[in-house]
Amino acid sequence: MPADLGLGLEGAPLRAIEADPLAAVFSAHETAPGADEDKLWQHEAVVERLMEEVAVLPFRFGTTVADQGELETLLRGREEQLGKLLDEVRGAVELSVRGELPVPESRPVGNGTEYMRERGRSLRSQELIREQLHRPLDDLSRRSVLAGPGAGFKGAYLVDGDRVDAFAERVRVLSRDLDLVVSCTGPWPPYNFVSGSEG
Amino acid sequence: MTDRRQKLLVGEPGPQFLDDELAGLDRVLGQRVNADREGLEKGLAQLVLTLVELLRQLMERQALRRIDGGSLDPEKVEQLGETFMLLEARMQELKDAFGLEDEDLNLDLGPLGKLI
Repeated sequence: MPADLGLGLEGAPLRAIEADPLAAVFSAHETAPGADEDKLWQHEAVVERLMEEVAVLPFRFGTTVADQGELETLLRGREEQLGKLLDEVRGAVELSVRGELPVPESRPVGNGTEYMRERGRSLRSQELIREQLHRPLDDLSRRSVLAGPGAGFKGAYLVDGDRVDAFAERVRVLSRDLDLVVSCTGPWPPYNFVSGSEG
Repeated sequence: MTDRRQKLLVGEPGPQFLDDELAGLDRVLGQRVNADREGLEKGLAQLVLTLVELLRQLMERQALRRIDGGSLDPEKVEQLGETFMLLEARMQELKDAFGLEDEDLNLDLGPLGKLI
């Protein structure tokens, strides 16, 4: 744990509760700070600063507990579980991929049976493209979370720190090859990977 | 202070490209209830239609799975298809009446993502 934690929201000093080998970092406030974009970035900056030195399981912005006792309760007795989660994210960052999946042009339909056939064709075509984008990205990551189904593509990928460039390059190539408008943002703290392995 | 753009590795920085990561905050804050009468009516219609649209999509997917599984006879498929077709047309009428777009019928649940 860094010796000087620095300042948190509204200039409140950051403090740590240590329950060896774990620690929870927090700042204390009389009332919960309101949410605006600057504060979100401040929270983000604190998490990122910590990530430079230790493995971190980030709380979402605005997570509050009543007092230090409640925070201690969160840590106590969960060393093994949290330790395992920390091992999963150590050395990795989260990358976010977003895009629109093209809706195939619908052919005119004259009856219910044709309508269902068209809907099936449309959904299958979207699922195919979703898979073509997701699979190669998943191969480059430790774990991934894919939202859906729906018209949009929204994936979170847990990627080794030294593979971020390779991942971004693969997004670029896939975006071009599949002719999709895709964006990739990060590196983020592993917000989507703090609650244990799926399956 | 981190800059929005520094987080963009690939793609174009649209005006809201980080909203999901920022817990959808901009939009959530912008969605405070507008307490005039017309605003309330539209807001209520938006909420109800969003739920209907969610159910419609879920039922449609379910029906497609059953069709793919071969457990429905052609007559039933035609009947289901007609029902969904009419429902879609009716939804379009209601959206038009309340001045709502497809994108409006999708609740942003912040950290949980979009409803549909």
